[in-house]
Amino acid sequence: MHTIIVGGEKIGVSIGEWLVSEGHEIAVIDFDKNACTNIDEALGAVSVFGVCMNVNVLQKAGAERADVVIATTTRDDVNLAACQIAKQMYHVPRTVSIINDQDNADLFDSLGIDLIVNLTNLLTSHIQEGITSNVVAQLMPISGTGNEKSLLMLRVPREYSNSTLPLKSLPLPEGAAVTLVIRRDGTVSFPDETIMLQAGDEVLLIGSDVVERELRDFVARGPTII
Amino acid sequence: MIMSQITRPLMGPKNAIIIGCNILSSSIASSLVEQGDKVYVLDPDDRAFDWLEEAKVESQRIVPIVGDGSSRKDLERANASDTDVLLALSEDDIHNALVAQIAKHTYQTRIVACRIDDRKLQKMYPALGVHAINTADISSELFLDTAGS
Repeated sequence: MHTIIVGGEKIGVSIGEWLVSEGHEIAVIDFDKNACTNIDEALGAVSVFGVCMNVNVLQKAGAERADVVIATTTRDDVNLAACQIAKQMYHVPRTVSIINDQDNADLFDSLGIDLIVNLTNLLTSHIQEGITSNVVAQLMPISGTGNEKSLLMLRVPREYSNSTLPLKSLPLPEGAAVTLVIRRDGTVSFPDETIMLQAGDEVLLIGSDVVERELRDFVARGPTII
Repeated sequence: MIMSQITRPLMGPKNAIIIGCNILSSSIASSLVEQGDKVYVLDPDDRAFDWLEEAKVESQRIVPIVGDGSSRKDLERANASDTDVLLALSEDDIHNALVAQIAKHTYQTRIVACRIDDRKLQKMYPALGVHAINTADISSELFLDTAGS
């Protein structure tokens, strides 16, 4: 697989390292000579010096045979142009773009960028998870469903170590579904009416922001005393 | 929304936004104002507003706004949701292309055009529904005509 990475800053280089270690061919475009030197030192001679909007530069990076273009610069206009040129002029099958301004998420999606990585969102949710003992985490947005669903993970909190939580008692509005239960010992079970959750168990489910909030509120109430 | 589209006159005074303040955009802004339009001009550098015709700025027919054309917040300060025309005229091709696509897809602006001076890029954008004008090509043609005659 041949991948063109646009932008050779830390993110671009790190993606490049991973692709090279997987045995893929890459080219990394950067308009900074020093960045290109660093890229070549880190990844072998794969840098292409220039701006990605310049068709000659893309050509040099092997755009004609590229399977994926990944745009990782801090400028959303550059990232968008890189993906659009790749798609329109070189028919690159998959384009991936980082977005720096959250407001561009819907736009990039409607313009046909195949995968959008929202840096601000990712960082925020990561930090949220780190500093609060969030029992419900958003693992991954599921695009294309038209109603903003995500893959969510509920981790049954410590408060439940002396009691159990019936899986069927979770408040799941229509459109939400449990996909998998991972027990604290690592075994995996498919959802089933009889499952009694315990502290440390994890539930993977699909649902909207509303589901995420409701679950959080539900778990925050703690074990029901009967 | 639909109502305003129906009742909005196709001709007559319009609200316009111009992205990037330079000699080209100031001249277009003045002409639009003379047709009766109100023009907001966005540029991140307020020194660029020196290009604008002072009298029209004073009478608030041209409204300079310091801001980034790709920021929704700044576009809304320029009344983006109620604008009929957006022209992206900065010297930066791909910035213009992004702003044009924001206007078209986010604000459903009726008339959108952008300046793309790179010939190869300019040829690509129509397929993406972006009306791209190559100002460099137009002026180089004039020069070549002169040189050739």
